[in-house]
Amino acid sequence: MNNKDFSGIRNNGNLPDPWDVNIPDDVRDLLGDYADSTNSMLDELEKAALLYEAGDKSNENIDTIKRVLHKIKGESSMVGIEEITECTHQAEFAFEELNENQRPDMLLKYRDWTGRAICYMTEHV
Amino acid sequence: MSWNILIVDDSSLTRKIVRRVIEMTEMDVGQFLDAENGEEALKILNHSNVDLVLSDLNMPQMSGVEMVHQMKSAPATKSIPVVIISTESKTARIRELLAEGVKDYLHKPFTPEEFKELIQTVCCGPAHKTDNLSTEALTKALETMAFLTVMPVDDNMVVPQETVLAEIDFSGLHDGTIQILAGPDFCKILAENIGALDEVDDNAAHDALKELSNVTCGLFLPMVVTSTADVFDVTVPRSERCDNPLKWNEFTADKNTCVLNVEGHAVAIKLTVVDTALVKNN
Repeated sequence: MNNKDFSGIRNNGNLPDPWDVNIPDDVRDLLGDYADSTNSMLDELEKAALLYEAGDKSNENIDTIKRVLHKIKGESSMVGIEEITECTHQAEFAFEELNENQRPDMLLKYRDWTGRAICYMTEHV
Repeated sequence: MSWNILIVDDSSLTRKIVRRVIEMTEMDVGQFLDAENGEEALKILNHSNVDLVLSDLNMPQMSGVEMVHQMKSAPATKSIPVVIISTESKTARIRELLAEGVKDYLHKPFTPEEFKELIQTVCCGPAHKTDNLSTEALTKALETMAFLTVMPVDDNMVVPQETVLAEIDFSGLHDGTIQILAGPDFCKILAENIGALDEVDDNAAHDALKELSNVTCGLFLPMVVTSTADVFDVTVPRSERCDNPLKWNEFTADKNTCVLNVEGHAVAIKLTVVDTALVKNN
């Protein structure tokens, strides 16, 4: 059970180490697929976050951000990577809670943390 | 029976994992079919024999919600069991789908054991048997219950909770009074009424509700356990009262919505009776 605190996503605080992620043994063969899919979604999220920062606050862009976060959470929970599931869950909350100016930084911080975690997983497993 | 299972999810990874989890149950699967969204799923359903649909909710092009609507309105697909698999908690949207005929809901991620339990429910109805509470007793208890969704009719109204479980005293309808029990007291009274527990403390009541939740596909648990209200009464306005239980339908004729008074507040209550035949027979 993951007890790590990811509330730092919501209040710009510290996050657990991205290399301290538990990977269930029975899904290790799926990690390649998981990493590819998540990295691709993180790229999409980064683009949407930068567009948002530049002023694109359209429903379409917001829907993209929400959809990507939701999908990463879904896949992470199915693979059993609890840290990324929880971090994404907090990012979803944060996106709703924060004001418009704070959202892009939060998303980029989330993107950075998750990208590092995925990178570490693929290099060390 | 060999099952043809259609997995509907826009994530190919999730479809792969769902399939793997099912394979771990050693369930007799004839064929796995895949769809990326509701639209693709409907096409497959039109030309393939599918025994069970497992579907996500949030998908591009056509969501799981729209897919369920279309399935339930088409004679060829309306009887195919659908189970929602989602990371969403039991939201109003999922409750609506369950009311529309979706068989069950599985929260992602789920284990092979949870899936096995689900299949038992889908194909055989409730098969859960517990040490303390019999399925028969729970089913009987359920038959005398109804759902009430309480919605505010104005901004100033304080609603105790979004949704409550209600035990309907059908004979009480003569007097125009329905007692609504929610929160911990509801759990206790439920456990006492089904007669399996002599002394009901909070834990036992919670266990009882969990068992009930298993029997009824998890329909009740989140709503009741998260509610905090104790006991309150609903008084049916005289104009809405029904003198004869046989005229139950007249009582709810207003599109199943009646304006009632709860602790002095006006609320609209959508009343869905689990088994109208039972009401009429009483």
